[in-house]
Amino acid sequence: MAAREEVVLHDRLNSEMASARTRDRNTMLSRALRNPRVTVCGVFLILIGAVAIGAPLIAPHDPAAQLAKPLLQPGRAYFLGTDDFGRDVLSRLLYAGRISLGVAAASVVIATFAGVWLGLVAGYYRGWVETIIMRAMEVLLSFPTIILAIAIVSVLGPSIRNIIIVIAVVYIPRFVRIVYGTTLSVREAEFIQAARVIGARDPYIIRTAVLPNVLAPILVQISLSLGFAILVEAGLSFLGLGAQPPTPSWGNMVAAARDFMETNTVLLIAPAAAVGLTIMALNTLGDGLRDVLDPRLRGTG
Amino acid sequence: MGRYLARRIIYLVVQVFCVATIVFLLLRLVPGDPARAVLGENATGEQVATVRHQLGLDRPLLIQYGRWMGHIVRGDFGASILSGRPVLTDVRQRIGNTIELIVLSTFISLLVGIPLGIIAALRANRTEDYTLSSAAMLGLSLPSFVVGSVLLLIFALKLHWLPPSQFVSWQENPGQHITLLVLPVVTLAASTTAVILRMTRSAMLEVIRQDYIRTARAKGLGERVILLRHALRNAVNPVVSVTGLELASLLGGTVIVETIYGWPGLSSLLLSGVRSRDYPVVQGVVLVIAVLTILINLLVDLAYGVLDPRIRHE
Amino acid sequence: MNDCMESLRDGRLRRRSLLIGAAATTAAAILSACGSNSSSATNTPAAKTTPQASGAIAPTAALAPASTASAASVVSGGPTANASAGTPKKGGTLRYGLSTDPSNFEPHVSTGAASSDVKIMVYSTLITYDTQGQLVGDLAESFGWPDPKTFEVKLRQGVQFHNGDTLTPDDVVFTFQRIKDPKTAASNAPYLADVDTIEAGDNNVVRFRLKQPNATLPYGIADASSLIVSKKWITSGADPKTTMMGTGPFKFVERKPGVSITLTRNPNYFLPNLPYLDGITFQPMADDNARVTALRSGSVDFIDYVPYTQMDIIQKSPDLVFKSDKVLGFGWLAFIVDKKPVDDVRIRQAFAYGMDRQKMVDVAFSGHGAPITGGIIPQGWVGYSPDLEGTYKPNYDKSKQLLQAAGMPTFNTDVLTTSSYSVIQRPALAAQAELKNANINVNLVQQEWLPFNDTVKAGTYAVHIWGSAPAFNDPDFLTRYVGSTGFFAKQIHFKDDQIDQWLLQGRQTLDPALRGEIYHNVEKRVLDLVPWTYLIRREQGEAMQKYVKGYTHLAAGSWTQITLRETWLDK
Repeated sequence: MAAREEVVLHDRLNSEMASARTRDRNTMLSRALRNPRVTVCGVFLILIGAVAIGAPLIAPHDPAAQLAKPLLQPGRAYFLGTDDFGRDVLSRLLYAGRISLGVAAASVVIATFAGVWLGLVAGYYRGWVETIIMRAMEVLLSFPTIILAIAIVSVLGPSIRNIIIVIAVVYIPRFVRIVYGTTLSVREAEFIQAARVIGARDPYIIRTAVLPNVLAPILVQISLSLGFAILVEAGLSFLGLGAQPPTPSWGNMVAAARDFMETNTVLLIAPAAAVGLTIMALNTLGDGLRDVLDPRLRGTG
Repeated sequence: MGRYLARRIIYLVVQVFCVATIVFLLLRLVPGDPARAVLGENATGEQVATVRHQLGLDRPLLIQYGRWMGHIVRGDFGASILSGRPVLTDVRQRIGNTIELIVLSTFISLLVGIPLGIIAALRANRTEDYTLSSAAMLGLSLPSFVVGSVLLLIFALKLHWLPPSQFVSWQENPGQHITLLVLPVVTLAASTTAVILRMTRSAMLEVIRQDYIRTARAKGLGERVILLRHALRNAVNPVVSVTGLELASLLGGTVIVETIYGWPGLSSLLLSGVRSRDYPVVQGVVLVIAVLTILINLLVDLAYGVLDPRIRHE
Repeated sequence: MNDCMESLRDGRLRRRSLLIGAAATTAAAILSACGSNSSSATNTPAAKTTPQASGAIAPTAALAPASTASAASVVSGGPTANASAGTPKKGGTLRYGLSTDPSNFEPHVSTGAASSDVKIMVYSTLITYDTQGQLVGDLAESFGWPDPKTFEVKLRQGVQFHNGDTLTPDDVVFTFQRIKDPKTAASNAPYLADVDTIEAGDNNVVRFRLKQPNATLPYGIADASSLIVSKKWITSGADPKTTMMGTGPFKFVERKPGVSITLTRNPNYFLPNLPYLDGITFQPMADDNARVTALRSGSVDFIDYVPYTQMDIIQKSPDLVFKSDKVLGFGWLAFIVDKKPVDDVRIRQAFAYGMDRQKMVDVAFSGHGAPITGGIIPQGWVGYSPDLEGTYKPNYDKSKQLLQAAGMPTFNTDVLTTSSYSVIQRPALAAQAELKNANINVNLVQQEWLPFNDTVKAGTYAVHIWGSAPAFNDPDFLTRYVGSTGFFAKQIHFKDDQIDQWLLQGRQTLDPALRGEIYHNVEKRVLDLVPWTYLIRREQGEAMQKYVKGYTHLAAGSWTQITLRETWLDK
């Protein structure tokens, strides 16, 4: 959703972003830190990330252990109660964060890496390379996200690794488009022409001149894609195609909780809130970053 | 324009061909035998082999592919391995249900999202804007299965205001059909409205700062005229574009809503097809969805040109 | 009626039929078929007043040998839940929330319980089950074994197909030839493998001539996928996958894929007064949650396959009735017996001792089930072995000792299971947690149903967890599991000559006591060899509004929902 919006925005913003040239990165950072939305969401996300990474230390129980009576209400022994298998909900929630955030992070890293290079190559070298890459991306984009995900997960089988691959594949085209557009306009810029003239080699030019220019839109895209990746993972888990039980993920926790919505509402609310808040923080961060990094929109939001 | 259109249509054909090929190959890579899905748990190995032969699944991949392509080109999508019904019959029956959901939720999103987006832009950085923007952010961030589950919990189970998951067709009982539509449409519209609100807001903000609006104001034109004739007209472009993208992504994105609310649309047909490895059904549905997605994208691009004369398609 | 009594009087059918196994059941069934015929033919008032007494259902109980479970069915709900209370009212349409949208209506290929539930309302079988799990005639007026290699069925007179044609022996012959035809790939073809020819005789008689005696034939004929079709209808090009036309209590009206299947009352049904309902509308609701909510909110009258997570809620509801059994459905953990390291029986035993099955019932099925610590033949069936109960009580120390002895103090293994069915997946998750106590660390490999089938067959994983139910209520159902030709035994490469010999003996023995002993031996040997270890039985059942009367959950023989024809609405 955010990412859908992003496609439109970036197509429109690309040219301007490129003309902004390389900006002083220190200014960018300090400006970002002065934006309250960026800092609040950033801190929140760092906290969530830390909790997820530290889950084995913080979690009171083994998330897979069936240690108590099923469906206990929240109480002193089990802060958020137990689920239908008698497992501690709080521990599962913490461990689920590991899966949900880990999958999102890994897939976005892959998508960014692949997307940036494909976009750079397509935009910089053009010709038949460009045609092949960009048409392939369009084909990928013409599959609706979840359909593509279902198809790939069905082929590879549901496992954490495969979900990461799926989400990465789904997001590669979005990164490619952004980087491609920026590269196209940067490549004709005077300073790059000049670098060519003095005999700089392509990889050097790409690294030093082109890459810094695509950094800003990429950062925004990463933040939004992370949110969307969590959403896709949760959706797949909800459909039974994501993390397989007893491994907890926010999506499969919500799916399982639907049977007990009336009697044990906390089973539904806890993971739902976790997904919602995290995605909201990522989206708000993305918005904040865009405000900070995009010269044109600065000050409007 | 004509040449542009011709080129886009050639692209479309190539893209659809690629999608078809990919789906065909993907399905053949998926473990799981459609013949076993047909025969049930008790089938013996010989029976599975018999049915595989009857279905032509024991032939070389290339021949299967060629035959299928040959039929597709003639508009024959084949019949479901499981139900025996022609794929197109099923698609026709369900596509209406899906389109009903999508169109209604998009319509409501536009109806709600554009005015609210304008208000947010006009009252930028004030309470109204913050409230609306936060609400939009919420709509954007909550996964549809969370929204759906919570709505069901509140409105169907606790308050008994609306019926839970079920489907009754319009022909059978229009009143019931509409009450059953409410929750799925609201669930879908939650995120779409948010997207449209945000896009309208940012596009309006951008336009309002332009010189010609200042000029219009200076000329003493009324706020309303400025707003509708000048600002909105120029802000509409990205909104159209994002609406198109929303429509396209909703086409396949109703899968969770259809699952939660038991709505017999295209996505649930696809999902059950994938689960039972019903090759013709999956191939057919994906192809239909892909064609529609690409067409919507094409229409959006063309609408760009119509709405904004500065953009010329070459 | 007369023929039936005559054949009984001269003892021809009876004496000869005693030669082979299952004869006791068969004889009872003949009596019952005659009995039912008498009541329907003479139209006794009783047949009109109580649903139980009409058709081929009630009179059998008294005559049946005590070979099957009788108290197996669990009926819960208020006092009004009693199925036979009140006088049946005619009319009304039952709105049925169906757990799976049937993939098609092919009468001879079973694609799961939900599609069978629909088909059995439109088609009929020659033989069916009564509420006690006994075989009784359906289209058959009588049936029996004139000699060990001939099974004879006499059809009811004047049964009409929904298109008005009269049922003839030719239709029956055509049906079973179609089932035997490899091109049909019929689910019951294996049960008919011993049938050499099927012939239509005079007087509405059909004869199955066998290559060798096989007592399980009647069960194959009674199965819900041996539905009798019209020869004329099929050969005239009707597509039995998309439409239905039989002799059953309801006529097929239309199907809206994914939305509904509509049936209407067959006024010419061969059992007088039945069915009571004007029609049934099946509405597929694959989502468990949605199905239960639809029932609770009153938008459907009846649902099948109640999920465990909701059984308590339904049982507590004053407006709903839950009818179920804990007898038939069960799960097991199987070993590919020749695959290392589980070719070592000590490791297999370590699994068997390493689980507290009662705890698994509590966790996986919210208590709606029963642990299996002994044999698999349920209480009340021939061959039930009370002395074997408790063979594999939880004993984690013993498990650890066995592992130690096998040279693997902790045992790490992949266990394959399927994520598609919660009745299999949930016990697997419970087993995983339990086995940890015995130093067995299980990594669950979960696949969708279809790939799961293939992977089990390929023997990729040494251990897998599966679940099913006996196909019928004769102990010979074990052949499918442990006979060397059995579907499940083949998958785990299990073959034991001793067991094969006993199973053969069991099929050809008459005396129930002797049979009991034979199957006891089989059960004991299986527990010793541990090709698999049984896990838990599960409760399975249907839930309905309180005003839905007359439905009986068949718990003793098969899950067929044939009693929907006696179901009526008290509102």
